[in-house]
Amino acid sequence: MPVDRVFLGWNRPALSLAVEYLAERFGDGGSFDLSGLIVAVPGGRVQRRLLERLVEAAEASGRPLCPPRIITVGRLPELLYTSKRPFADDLTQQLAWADALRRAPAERLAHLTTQAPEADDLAAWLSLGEMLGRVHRELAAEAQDFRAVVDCGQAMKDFREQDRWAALCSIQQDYLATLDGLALWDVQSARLFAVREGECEIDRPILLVGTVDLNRLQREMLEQVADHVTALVFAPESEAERFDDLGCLRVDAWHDLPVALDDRQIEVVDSPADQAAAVLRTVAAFDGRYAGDQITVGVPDERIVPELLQQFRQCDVAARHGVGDSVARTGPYRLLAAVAEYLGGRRYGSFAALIRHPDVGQWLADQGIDGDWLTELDRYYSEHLPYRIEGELLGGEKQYAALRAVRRAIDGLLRPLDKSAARLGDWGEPIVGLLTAVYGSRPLRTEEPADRAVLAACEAIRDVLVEHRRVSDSLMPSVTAGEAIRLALRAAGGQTIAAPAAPGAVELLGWLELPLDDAPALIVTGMNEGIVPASLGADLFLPNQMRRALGIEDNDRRYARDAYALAMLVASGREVKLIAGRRSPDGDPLLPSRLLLLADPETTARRVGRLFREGESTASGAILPGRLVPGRDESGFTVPRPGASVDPVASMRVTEFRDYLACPYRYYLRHRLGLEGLEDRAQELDGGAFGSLAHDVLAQFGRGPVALSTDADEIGVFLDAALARRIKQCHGTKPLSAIRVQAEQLRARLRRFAQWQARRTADGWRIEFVEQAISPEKALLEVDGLPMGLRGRIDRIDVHEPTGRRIVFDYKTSDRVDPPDKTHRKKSEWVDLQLPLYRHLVAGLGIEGPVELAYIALPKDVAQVGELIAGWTPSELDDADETARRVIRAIRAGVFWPPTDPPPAFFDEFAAICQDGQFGTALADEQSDDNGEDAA
Amino acid sequence: MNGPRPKLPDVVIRASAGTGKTFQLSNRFLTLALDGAPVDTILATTFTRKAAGEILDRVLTRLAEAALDAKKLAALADQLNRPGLDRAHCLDVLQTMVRQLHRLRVGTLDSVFAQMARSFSLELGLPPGWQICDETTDLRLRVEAIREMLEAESTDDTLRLMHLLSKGEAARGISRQILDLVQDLYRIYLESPAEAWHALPRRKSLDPAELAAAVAALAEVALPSHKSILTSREKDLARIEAQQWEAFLSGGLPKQIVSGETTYYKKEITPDVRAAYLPVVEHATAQILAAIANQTEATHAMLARFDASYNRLRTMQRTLRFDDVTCRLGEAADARPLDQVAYRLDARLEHLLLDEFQDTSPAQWHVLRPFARQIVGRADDTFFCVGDVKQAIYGWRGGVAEILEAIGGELSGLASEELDKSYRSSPVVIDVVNRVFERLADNDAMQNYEPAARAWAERFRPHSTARTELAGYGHLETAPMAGEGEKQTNVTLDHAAARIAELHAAAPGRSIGVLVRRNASVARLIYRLRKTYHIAASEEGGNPLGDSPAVELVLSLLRLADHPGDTASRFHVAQSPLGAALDFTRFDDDAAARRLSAELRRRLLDEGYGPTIYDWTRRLAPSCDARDLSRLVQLIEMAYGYQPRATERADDFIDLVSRQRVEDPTSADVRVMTVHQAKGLQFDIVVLPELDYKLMGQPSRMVVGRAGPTAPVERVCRYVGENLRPLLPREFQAMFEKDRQQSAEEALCLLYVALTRAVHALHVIVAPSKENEKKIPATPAGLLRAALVGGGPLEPKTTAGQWGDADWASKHAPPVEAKATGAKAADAKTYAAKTCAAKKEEAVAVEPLRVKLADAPKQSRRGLDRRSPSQLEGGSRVALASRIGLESTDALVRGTVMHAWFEQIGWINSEMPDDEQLARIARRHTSDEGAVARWLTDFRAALARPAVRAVLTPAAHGAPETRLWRRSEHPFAVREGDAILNGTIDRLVVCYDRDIVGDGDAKPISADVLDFKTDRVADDPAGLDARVEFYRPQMQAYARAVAKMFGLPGDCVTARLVFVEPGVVREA
Ligand code: SF4
Repeated sequence: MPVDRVFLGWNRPALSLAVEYLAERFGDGGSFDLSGLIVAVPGGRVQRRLLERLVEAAEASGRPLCPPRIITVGRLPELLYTSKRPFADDLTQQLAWADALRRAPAERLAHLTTQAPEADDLAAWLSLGEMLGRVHRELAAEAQDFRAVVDCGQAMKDFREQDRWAALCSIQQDYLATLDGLALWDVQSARLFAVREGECEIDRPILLVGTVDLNRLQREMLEQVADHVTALVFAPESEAERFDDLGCLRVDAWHDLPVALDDRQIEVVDSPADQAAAVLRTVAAFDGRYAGDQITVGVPDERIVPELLQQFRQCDVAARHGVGDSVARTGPYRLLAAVAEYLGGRRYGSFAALIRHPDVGQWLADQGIDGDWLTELDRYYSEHLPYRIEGELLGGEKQYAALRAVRRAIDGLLRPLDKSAARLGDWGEPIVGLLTAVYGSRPLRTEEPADRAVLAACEAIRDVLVEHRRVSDSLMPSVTAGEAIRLALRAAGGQTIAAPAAPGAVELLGWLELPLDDAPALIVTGMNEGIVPASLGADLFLPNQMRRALGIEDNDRRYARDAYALAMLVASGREVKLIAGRRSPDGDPLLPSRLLLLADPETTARRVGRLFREGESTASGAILPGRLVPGRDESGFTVPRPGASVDPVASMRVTEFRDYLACPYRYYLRHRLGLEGLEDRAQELDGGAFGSLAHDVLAQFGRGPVALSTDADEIGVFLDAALARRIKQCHGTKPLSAIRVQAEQLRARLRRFAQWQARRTADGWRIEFVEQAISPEKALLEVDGLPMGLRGRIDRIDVHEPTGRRIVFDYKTSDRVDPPDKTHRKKSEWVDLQLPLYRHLVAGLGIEGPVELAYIALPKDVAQVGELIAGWTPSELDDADETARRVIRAIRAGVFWPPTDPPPAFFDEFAAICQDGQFGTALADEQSDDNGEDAA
Repeated sequence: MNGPRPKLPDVVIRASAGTGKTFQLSNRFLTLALDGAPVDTILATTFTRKAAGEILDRVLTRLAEAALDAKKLAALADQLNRPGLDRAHCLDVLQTMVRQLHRLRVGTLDSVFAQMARSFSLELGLPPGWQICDETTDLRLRVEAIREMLEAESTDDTLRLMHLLSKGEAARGISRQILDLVQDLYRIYLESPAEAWHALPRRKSLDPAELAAAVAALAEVALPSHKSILTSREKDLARIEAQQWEAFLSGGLPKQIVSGETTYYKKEITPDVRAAYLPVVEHATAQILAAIANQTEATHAMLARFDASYNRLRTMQRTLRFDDVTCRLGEAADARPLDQVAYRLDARLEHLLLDEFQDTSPAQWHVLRPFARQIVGRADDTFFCVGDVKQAIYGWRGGVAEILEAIGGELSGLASEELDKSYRSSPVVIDVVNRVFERLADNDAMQNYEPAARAWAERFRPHSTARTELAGYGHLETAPMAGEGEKQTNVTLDHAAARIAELHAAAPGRSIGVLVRRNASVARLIYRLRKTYHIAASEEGGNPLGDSPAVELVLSLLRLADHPGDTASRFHVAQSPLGAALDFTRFDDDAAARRLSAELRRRLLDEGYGPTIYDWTRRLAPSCDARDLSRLVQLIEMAYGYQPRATERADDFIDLVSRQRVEDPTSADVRVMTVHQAKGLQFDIVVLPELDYKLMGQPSRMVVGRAGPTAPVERVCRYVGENLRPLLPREFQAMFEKDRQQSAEEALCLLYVALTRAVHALHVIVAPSKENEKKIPATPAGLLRAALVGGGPLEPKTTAGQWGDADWASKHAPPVEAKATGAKAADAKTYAAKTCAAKKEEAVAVEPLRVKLADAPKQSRRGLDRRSPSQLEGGSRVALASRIGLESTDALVRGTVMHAWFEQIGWINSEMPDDEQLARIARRHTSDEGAVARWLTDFRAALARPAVRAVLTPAAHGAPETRLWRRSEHPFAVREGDAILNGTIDRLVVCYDRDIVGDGDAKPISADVLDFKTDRVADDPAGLDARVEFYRPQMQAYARAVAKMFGLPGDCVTARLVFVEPGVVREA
C-alpha cells in the first residue's frame, strides 16, 4: 500500500494548514489526543513551533492536549527498527576512522594524502578521520558505500581515481571491522542492516509534515512501513506532478518556478550592513501592521546575523536568533582553551591571558587574593621580559606579592592537570574538577542569561567528557591534559546554546527553517547565488557529477529544494521581501540568486539589468544609526586642559627640561601628573632597558678597584662578569633569547669600551665619581629670587690628575650616538639641557672650577666607542641656563598649554590623549628610533 | 547569426593604460558565450576581487541591455564584431547564463587557485580544513615563529646571524630586524631551491703559513721609489694584519691589480710586484667571497628554521596564505593530470581569459601553464590574455612582467594585439605621456640605464586618445629649497600640500589624486592637508579608525581592560564623557581602575565586543559630530566581525583596529596614496609631488637570478656593493646588473602608471636643482625635466613648464557620472560621483529610523519559553557540581534501561514481560551481556520490594482496574504563562468515576503521577528527605500539567517518587 499523500495547497502558511489538518483529523470530541501519533518534521524549529501551535489550538478550543511525538525527520529511522547493537558515539567513530587510517599501509595511505600525519599526532589523524567519516555518512545515508564510487567511476570519462577509492574502500572496511570488533555499530550501518533485512516496523501512524527532501535510506525505511505513513504536501493538487510517492520533490520537475515573483519584492544592496539596513527599512515600512512576533527574518548566510541583531538593537526592536551563540564564546570554553594554552608551555603570554579571564579573576578574588596583580604582572614583564612563567618569580617580594599569590593559586588550581600523558577518559575528572572549582562556588541562576550560558556550556563540555570516558579500551588514546581539553573543546565548540526565549521578538531563522515558518511577514536576506541555492563548485571527494551519478545530494537537488521553498513562501499569501547583497562579509563579490532572476526570457533580461545596477548604486557604508544621533556639529572630544592646581614644583630632574621644551602639555602629563603607559608587548629590551643594563654594569665597574686598571683585558673580564650577573639577576637563568643576544651585543660594546678605558687610565685619567645622585637642596638654580632644586644622577666624573681637567660624562647606548651639541640644540635653540645643567649638580658635589661635558658613546658601530665632548662656550652655556630659567618660570606659572604640534616623537603613550591620530599617522620620518633610554 | 563560428584566435593583448583592458576581456567572454561555449568551460581571472565582480556584472548587463534596447544591441554587435547579432539570441544566451550562474568561473587568480587547492588538499599535503588567514593573524604567527625559532636557537647561532645581518655592528633590536628580513625574503626563500643559495663558488684561500710567507714576500718586494707607493704598501700591510680585506682591495696597488691596470702613480707595475701582490689579492678575494657566501647561506639557514617554526604554527592553526597555496599547486602542477583537475573541479577548462597578466608571478604561471598549453594545443579551445608590461609595478610581490613578453615563446601560435588609444585622458595628458616615454633612450637622466631605456623604447608606442573633447592642463614646477636642517623631500611635500589646497579650491567637485612613493609621505601629506588646510583628505583604502578621537577614547578604555595600571589611559577615560558614565572620574584611584578593568573584561566576555562598544557609543553619541559617530559605528561593525576570534586580551582587538584601514565615507575630496594603490583608478587631477628618488631604488637585500622569466631560480646572493662586484663570477655580475636595470624599469612603470591616472590635469612638483647640479639626476624628476623642459638646472619655486589650459576646470562642468560608451568606465572608478554619493549618505545616516510595531497578540504568541520538569530539579539556583558530575557511564545506561523496563510493566501481576524481552530491550543500549544480566537481577529484586510492587498495582490508586486509565511515558504540553511546560511522565494513572470501557461519559476524579528514580540511593531518611526536596519542583510541575490536562483540581493529583533501589515510595 502506498503512502497516503494529502495535498493541502500552499496559499496559506504550511504550519497553519498542518495544524488545521490535525485538529480536524484527531480533535474529535472533548479531547485532542495525538499521543499515539508520530509527526516527523524537517527541523528543530518547526518541531517547537508546531507544538506551540497545537497547544494554542488546544487552549483555544478548550480541549486538553495529549501532544503527538514530534520529531525531526533525522530521528525518525530509529523508531522504525530495533538496533541489534548499541551505537558508537561520534568520538568512537572518529577514533575508529583514525585507527583504520593509522594502521593502513603507507602505500595505501599515499593514494589518499601526500602528507600523512606524524604517528603521534592524534589531532591530525582525527581530522583526517573526520573527513572520511563525513563522506561515509553522506554515502551511507543514500545506502551507498565507497565501493559504489569505484563502480560509478568506471562509467565516467574523466574518472582517474580508481586507486584512491580502492584504498578508501579498504580503509572503510577496516573502520567497520573495528566497530564490529567492539560489537558496536554506527547509525548508518544499523539502518542499512534494518533496511536490507526488511526489519522496519511501526505500530502507530506516522505523519510527514513538509519533509520533501528525504534521503534514500529514510525513504526505503518508510516504504517498508508505508501503510502507516501519511505525507502532508504543501502544494495544490495541480502541482502533484512535481512530487513523488512519498511527497518528496522530483528533482527534474523544478526547473521553473511555478509562482511569479513581483519585482517589488526584490531588493539588491551592497554590503552586509546594507542588507541589515534594508531589513530594518522594510520593517519600518510595515508601519505598525505587524507585531514583532509576526515578523520573521530569513538569514541563509549566518554570518550576517550579528549585523542584523545590532541593527535591530539600534532601532530598539527585540530580535532573537534562535540558534543562539556558539559554546565557543562562553566563559567555560574560553577558560579551558586558555588553560590548555598555558599548560602547553607555560609561556608568559598564555599566563597573562589566563589570568585576564574574568572568571579566573573572580575565582582569585574568591580565594581572597587581593591587590593589583595585573599591574604587577605588567611591571614584572616590563622589567624581566620572561618567556615562560615557571619557577620562582624574579625581583622583590614586595613588588610582586599579589602576583606571587596568584601564581601559587593558579598552580594549585591546575595541579590535577599537571601531569604527563594519561588515558583520554581519565582527564574527565580533573577537567570537571577545574570547572567546578572556578564556577562552582556561586549558585548559578537559570534566569540569568550569563549564568545560563555558563551552565549550558559546562553541560555541553561534560557530555563530551562522558563520551571520552565511554571509549573502549582498544581505542582509548593516551594524551596530555592540553590535548584532552582541546579534543573536548573541538567537539563542544561546534554546539550552540539556544538563545533565551523572547516572546514578542522578531525571529531570525535559517533558510531551511523558512518553508514551515508561519509568520505573516517575512523578510529574507542573503538571496544570493551560492547561498540560495547553495552549490558545490568543486570537491575533495565527491564532485557534482559523481554525486549526480550516485544519486546523492547534488546541485540540482539543492536547486529543486530551494525553488520549492521559495515558491511556497511566495504563494502563501504572506508579505514577503527578498534581499540580496553584492558583497559577502569577507568582501567577496556576490551575485543575486538565479532564483530571483529566472523568469521568462524578457523578464529575466529586465531583472538582470535592474538588479545588477541596483546593487551598484547602493554605495557601501550606508549605516543606519537608529537611535544613534550625533549630538553636535563639532566633535565634543577635546584634549583635556591642564588642571588649575598643581602642587608647586620644588625640584626638577635635569632630564625633565627636554620634555618641557618639546611639549609643555605632554611634559605636564608625564611629570606633573606622573602618567605612564603600561603594557606587555615588548619582545626584547627597549632603549631604556638596554641603557640601564649598561649603566648598571658600568656603575659597578666604576665603583670597583678595576676602575684603576690600565689592562683592557682585566677590565673586559670584569665587565663581562658584571654583565652576566646583572642579566641573571634581572632576567633569570633562562632569559629570553633576544635578551641573550642583546647582552652579547652589549658585551661587544663593553669590550671596546674596556680598551678605551684602559687607554684613558693610562693617559692619567681617574674616575672620580660614579652614578652620583645629588639631592636637590645641594643643586639650586636661582630663578627670580626663588631657588629651584635640580635633581639627577651623574653617570660619572673623570679627573685628569696631571692637569686637573675634569669631565662630566653621560653614557649613551643608543644604536647611533650623536654628539652632544646635535642632541641638545636644534637650529641653535636648546632642546635639551641635561649636560649643561650637570654643571649645577657638580657644584652640589663640592666641585669647583670648570668642568667639561661629554658623552661616552657606546653605539652599535663599536669602532665609534669613545668620548664625545661638547665644546660649548661659556656664553652658550649661559644661554642654556637662561633657557632653563625660562622653563622654570613657565612651569611655576603653570603654563602647560598648548600641546606642541606636530607631536614630538618620544611621547607615544599620550597619543590618544592628545589625539595625535586625528590627522593621520603623524609625520613619520621626523621620528628618530631610540631616544627612549633617556626617559629612565 | 546562430550556428558554428570560426574559432576565436588565441591572443595576447598588450593594452596601454586607460585603453580598456577589462572591456576587452568582457568582450571576449561575451563572444564566447554568444558563440555557444558552455559558460562553465570559460575561466576568467583578474587580480582583485572587485575587478572580478565587475567583469561578471559587465558581461551580464551588457547582454541584458542588448536584449532590451535596439541601440545597445547594435553597439554590442559592433563591439563584438558579430553583425547579425539578434535579440532573440541575446535573450536565449542570457537565460542560459542565468541558469548556469553557479557555474560561472570569474574570479581572482588567488580564489581560483584556492578552490583548486581545496579540492586537492590531501594530495597537496595541506592541513585539513585549512583557511586563508588575514594579514594581522599572519603577522602574529610570523612574530611568534620568530620568537620560537630564537628560543630554540643557541645564542651563538643567533649572534652569528645577527652579526651577518648587521654587518658586524652590535645593534640592539633583534626581533624587528629578523622580522624585516623575513618579510623581505621569505617569498624568495620559497621560490628558490636550496642550491641557489649555495651557488656562489668559494675560492681557495691561503693557510696561515702561506699567508705569512706571502706577506713577507710582499713586504720585501722592491717597489718603485715613490713616496705614495711606499706608504700605500704600509697601509696594505696594516690592512692585511687587521684582516680588512675589503679595504685592502679597494685601494692602492691591489685595486689596480684587480682591475687590470698596469700602472700606479704613473709607474709601471712590474711582474715582480704583481707576483708579490697576487697571492694576497687572491686570498683577500677568497675571503670576501667567503663572507658573501656565508652571509647568503646563513640567511638561507635562518629562513629555513623560520620556515619550520612558521609551518608548524600554521599547521596547528590550519591557516595558509595565497602564496603558499600557489606554491603548493605549482609544485604539484607537473605531477597531476589535468583531467583529474577537471574532474574534481567539475568542469573542463576550454577557454582561458587572463586579465592584468603583467602581474603574474612565475609560481602562478607555473600553475596556469599546463592549462594554457593544453588549450592552445586543442583545436576548439581558446586562450586570451591581456596586460601591460608598462604597468608592472608588483615586482615586489612576485609579479614578473617578462612573462607577458615571453608568452609568445611559451605558447605557440598566439596572435598579438596592441591597444594604445586611451578612453580616459585628455589630449594634454596623453601628450605629456608621449613626450616622456617616446624618447627615453635619448633622455639624459637614463644614461646609466641604457638597457632599461631601450627595453622601454621597444615597448612604448605613442598613445592617442578617444577623448579629444576633454580640456586639460599640465604643469611642472619646483618646490622651495630646503633650509638648513630641513629635508628637501619634506619641503617639497609641504609645498605640494599648499598647491593641492589651491587646486581643490579652484576646482570644487573634481577628484584629486595625490600619488607618492612612500607610505610616510602619504601620512605627511594627509597630516598637512587636514591640519593646515582643513581639507578632508584621506588615504586610498582609508585610515585606521584611530583617526577619530572618539574611537581613540574607546580604545583607551579597552586598553584599561587589559592594563589597569596604564595611567595614561586612565586619565584619558576619566577626563572624557565616558568617565562619568562608567563612574570612573579619578584617574589616580587604583582600586577603581582595578574594578573597572575587571568589569570591562567581564562585559567583553559575556556580551561580546560589538554590543559592548555599541553601548559605549550610545553614551558617547551626544559628544560626537557626524564623523566621530560614523567612525564609531564602523568600529562596532569591526567589533562584531572580530568576535569569533576574540581572545582574553583586549590588546589583540586594539591591535587590529590600529592596523586595519577603513574607508571614511565622509571624506573623499582629496585622496592621497602610493602609486601602487592608484592602480586601476583615475582622477580629474593628479598631483605628483615625490619624484626625486633614485631610479635604482633601494638595493634588494637578496638578488635573485634565473635563466628566463619563467625559469626556476638558479642563484641567490646577498646584495654586493658596486666596488666589490668585480670580484664576483661573471654570471653574478650580470645578475646584479640585471637587477639594477629591472629596478629602473620598475621605476619607469611607476612613473607611467602615475602619469596615466589623470583625466584632465597633471601637476608635477619637483625639488629645485642643487647648487652643484652638474648633470640631470637619474630620478623620475630628472627624467621628466629632461623630457619636458630641457633638462637645465631649475630655480626654486618656479614654473618650469606648462601645457594646455590652466583654467580648464571652470570651462568644463564636472561629469555627473562617467557613462560608458566604450571602455572608459570599465577600467577605472572616478571619485567625483562617489564623493557625491558619500555626502548623500551622510545625510541619510544621521536621519534616525523609527520602527513601529503592532501590539503583540495575547493569544497567539511565538517563541514561548520551553520548560521541562526535569530542568526544575533543585529549583532555579543551581550548584554547578550537581549538574556536571560525571556519573559513571554504567549508571547512565543502567538508568535508561531500567526506565525502559518499567515502561513495559502494565499491572504488575497481569502484564509482565519476560526476561528475554527485557534483555532485547537492554541490548539496544549496551553490548555488555554481563551488565544486562546484573541489571536484570537488580530489576527483579526491585520489583520484589513491597513498596515498589504495591505502587504498580491497581490498588495503589484506590480503584478497580476497570476505572483506571494508565499510560507509561505519557507526553504532555500545557501553557503556563509565557512558557510551555512540556515533557513525559514515567507512569500516569487516572482514576475515573465509573468504568471507562464503553462509557464516554466517565469523568476523571483523581490522578497519580509516578516517577522512577533508579540510581542507587541509601535508605536513610534524612538523605531521602533531601532528595525529595530536590525533586519537588519537578514533581509539582508534573502534577500541575496533569491537573490542567484532565481538568482536575490541584489537590486531586498526587505525585510520587519511586526510589527503586531502597524500595521506597514518597509523595512529593
Ligand atoms: S607562490 Fe611563488 S612567489 Fe609565492 S611563495 Fe610560492 S614560489 Fe614564492
